[in-house]
Amino acid sequence: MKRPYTGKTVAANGILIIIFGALAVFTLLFTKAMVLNNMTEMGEKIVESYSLEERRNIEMYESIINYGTGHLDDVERNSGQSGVENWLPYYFSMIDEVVGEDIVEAYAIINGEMIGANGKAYDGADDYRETQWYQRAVLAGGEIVFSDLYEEENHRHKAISIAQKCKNSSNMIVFNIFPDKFRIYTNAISMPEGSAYYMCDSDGKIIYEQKMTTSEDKWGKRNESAATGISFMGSDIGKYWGDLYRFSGSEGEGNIYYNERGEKTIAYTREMKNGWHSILALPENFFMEKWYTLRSVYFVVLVLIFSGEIFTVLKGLHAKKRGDYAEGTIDILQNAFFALYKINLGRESYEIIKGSEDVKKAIPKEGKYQWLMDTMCSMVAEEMREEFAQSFSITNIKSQIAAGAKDYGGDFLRLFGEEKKWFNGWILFSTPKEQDEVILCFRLVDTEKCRRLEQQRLLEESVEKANESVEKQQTFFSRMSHDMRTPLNIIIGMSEQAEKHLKEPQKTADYLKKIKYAGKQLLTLINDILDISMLKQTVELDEKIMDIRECVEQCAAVFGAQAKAQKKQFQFSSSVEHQMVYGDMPHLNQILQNLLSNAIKYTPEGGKIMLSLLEKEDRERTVYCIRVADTGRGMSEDYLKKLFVEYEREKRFASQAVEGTGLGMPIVKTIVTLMGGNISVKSKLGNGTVFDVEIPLKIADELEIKEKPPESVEQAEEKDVRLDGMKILLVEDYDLNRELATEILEECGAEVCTATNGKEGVEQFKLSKEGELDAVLMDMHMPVMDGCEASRCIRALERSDAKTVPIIALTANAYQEDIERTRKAGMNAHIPKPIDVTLLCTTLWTEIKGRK
Amino acid sequence: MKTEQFYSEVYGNYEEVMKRLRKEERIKKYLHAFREDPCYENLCKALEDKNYADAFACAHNLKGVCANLGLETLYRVSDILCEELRGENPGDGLERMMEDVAGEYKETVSKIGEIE
Repeated sequence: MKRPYTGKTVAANGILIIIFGALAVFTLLFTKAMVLNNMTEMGEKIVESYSLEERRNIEMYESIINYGTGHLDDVERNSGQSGVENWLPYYFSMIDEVVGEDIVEAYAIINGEMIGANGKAYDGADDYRETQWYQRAVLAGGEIVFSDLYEEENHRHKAISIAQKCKNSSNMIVFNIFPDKFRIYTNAISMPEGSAYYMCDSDGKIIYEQKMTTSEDKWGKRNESAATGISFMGSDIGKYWGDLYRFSGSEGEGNIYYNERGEKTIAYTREMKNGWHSILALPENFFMEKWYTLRSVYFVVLVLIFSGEIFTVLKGLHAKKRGDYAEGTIDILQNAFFALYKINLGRESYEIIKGSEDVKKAIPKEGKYQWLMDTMCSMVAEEMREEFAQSFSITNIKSQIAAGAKDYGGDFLRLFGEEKKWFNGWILFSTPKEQDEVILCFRLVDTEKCRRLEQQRLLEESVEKANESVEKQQTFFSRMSHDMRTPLNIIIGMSEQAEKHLKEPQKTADYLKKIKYAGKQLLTLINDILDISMLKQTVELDEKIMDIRECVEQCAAVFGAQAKAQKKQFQFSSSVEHQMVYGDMPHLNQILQNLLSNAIKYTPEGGKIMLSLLEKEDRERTVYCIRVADTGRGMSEDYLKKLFVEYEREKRFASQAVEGTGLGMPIVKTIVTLMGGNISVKSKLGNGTVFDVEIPLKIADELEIKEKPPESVEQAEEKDVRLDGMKILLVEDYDLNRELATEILEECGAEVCTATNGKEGVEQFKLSKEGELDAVLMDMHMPVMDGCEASRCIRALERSDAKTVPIIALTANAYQEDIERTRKAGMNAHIPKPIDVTLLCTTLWTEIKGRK
Repeated sequence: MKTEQFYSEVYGNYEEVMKRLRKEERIKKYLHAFREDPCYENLCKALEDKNYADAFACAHNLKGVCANLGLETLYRVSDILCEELRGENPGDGLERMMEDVAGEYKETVSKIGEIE
């Protein structure tokens, strides 16, 4: 792919900017030099022009005065004193005619007398001999002399005197000229606005000045304020302007000054042969303003050009960055996708950016899109081929673009060598309506697709299971409503009947019997529901030393008697080497009871029930196998699959009104699983059922077996469990129960102290010495403070025995949730009410000894 | 009347009680103590005062002692009453339940008096 802008292009542009900048600076400096040069030339021309004009003026006065002195000598020599007196008025009037009236004040020194324009001598004008012009004229010996600017006595204003002594006599002609009369009105080059022209005498005094301050203040209008006080001292221009202008340096032909306003001014001078100076002061702004304007325009143009160039460079950089980014993106895309194709929708062609090996072998790098599609389709799994072709057809791509899609695609299966894998085909387009090109890319998604499919499968399964569960629960409630209502209806119906026949004891007894039966049935149902609910929660097995053979034997005895009463055969056998194990006897009993009660229930009269217990070694564990077999009805294959599913019952026998909640077997299965064992069942309809339960149990240590308290009434009576030397705190609110428990405990040798509520119990415990009490027997329901709260208070006490003293609950409610509540309150065990001497003593013995 | 016969007449389970409490003398002792116990009177008074909290405590105690002494019928009716009083918001059947308890209690106590 072509890069729109490269690093070289950016560097070249940078160099161009530098060269252009250097040229611009050079041009600027050159232009400034040119402007300054022009300014100098102009200044020189103007001052030359003014100087020339002044020389003409002076030459005119010199010619007139030359003519006068020459002619005066001739007149005196030819006509004597009278001729002179006659000629002088004529001469003076001629002067007025030549230079104009009142321009020149002319007079003559004749034989020591000063003769005025009227031909008469001035009275008292003898002091002329002291004047500068007179002395210069005498010394000059006939050459024309010029005085410096001086203040004329009669007229009280400044004047210049031009004087020439006659060559053949001491006579002299003198012109007094006022400075304004030197002012130039014609011929000289016009001065630029803001400039000033000064004519100075040889002593540096300004004879006159002319300023072009504004367009209205042109020639001939003296700017008094500007002229006042200006004095040029000596011949150095710097001296002339010392008071008004601050010398700064030289530039070109002129000298640079700053006037009192701080404005830069350049002065150009010309010295005339009479020692006077023409000085032209040109404000730099006059030239520089143009220069500044030019410079500003130049800067604007320069800035525009620079901006344009910088914009171009920045644009280039941005383009380069985008190019890099695009290149990086392409690299990333090439890494992420195993194939990338550029598709031209207009030409219906493709270009391979990155192709898979098999595609590259099959088609050229560029070509018709149809070639690519045909090749790809041949590789896609047959069942997805049509969908693939349709998805990535030019028509579909265009329609997707028209619909405003930014991208689209899907997952397909294709052959990679010999293996089928999932890949994702995707069409990417950025500005679909303007561009005619899209990118077709393919990415391998086999792992994630398989995982997604697996997740989807699991999700579907979960949903299915959830639906099944909901369905089962609905079925359960439907059944339970029937199963609960049936005994309840019996109870209500029979109660009404009993009420009606109160005077007929036989009938009443019959009704009561039926009520009792229905009540038990209902109780069983409720117990099963509660059991399965509790088992579904986290139930911890209470593993204690137990005699497994004895446990099974006891069940065998009970159910054997029941079977015998129902005229059914019962057979029990056991082969156990280690009968003392760690196990949860109540739960084991529950398994046996459920299996045996079912066996008896479903075995008809004359049938046979077999119970066996075997011990076998399985790796490092000892496994106990319990088999419950019967020759009863058996179960259908369909039901066998759902035997351990909650709320399921064999429908085949529904008409025979066999009791059952459909929870017995799920309870058994749950308990066996909790114990780490397994249960299997074999059954054939009409041929009986065989349940095999395998439970791994740890064999008890010999030492612990000896310590084990007796558990049966008979054993207890035989061994007579004693609580000698033990001190027990009994917390019970009801006097009669407290007295009964106290009596039993004291008979067993224990020392008993009592409390009538939980709060009192806590206080009693606090008052006892640490370790004095061996156990606390705690009733649950008490006024002031109940048993759980009292236990929590005791456990929270800061004394060494508070955490360790056994606290045993006395509770009428022995349901799992009540037991869990006592455990959470920090109690160690529970004894169900009503009071059982053996259970009470053995529990206390176990809990006390177990902690010592 | 023998203790065993008493249990038979009040629909109790003498064997079960013996198994738990071991000694007949003890059973007799506490049956007589039950007869003198003020629990029932307290229950009646609490109900009369409509003090259902106390009534519940009394019914609970009555149920407990009946369970201990194996007085099953009285235990069941007092259990029903106890559950009715739990929450201290009894329904319409309270009076009838109490009547059942009263009838059963009086009969039981009367028969306890006949034990030799």
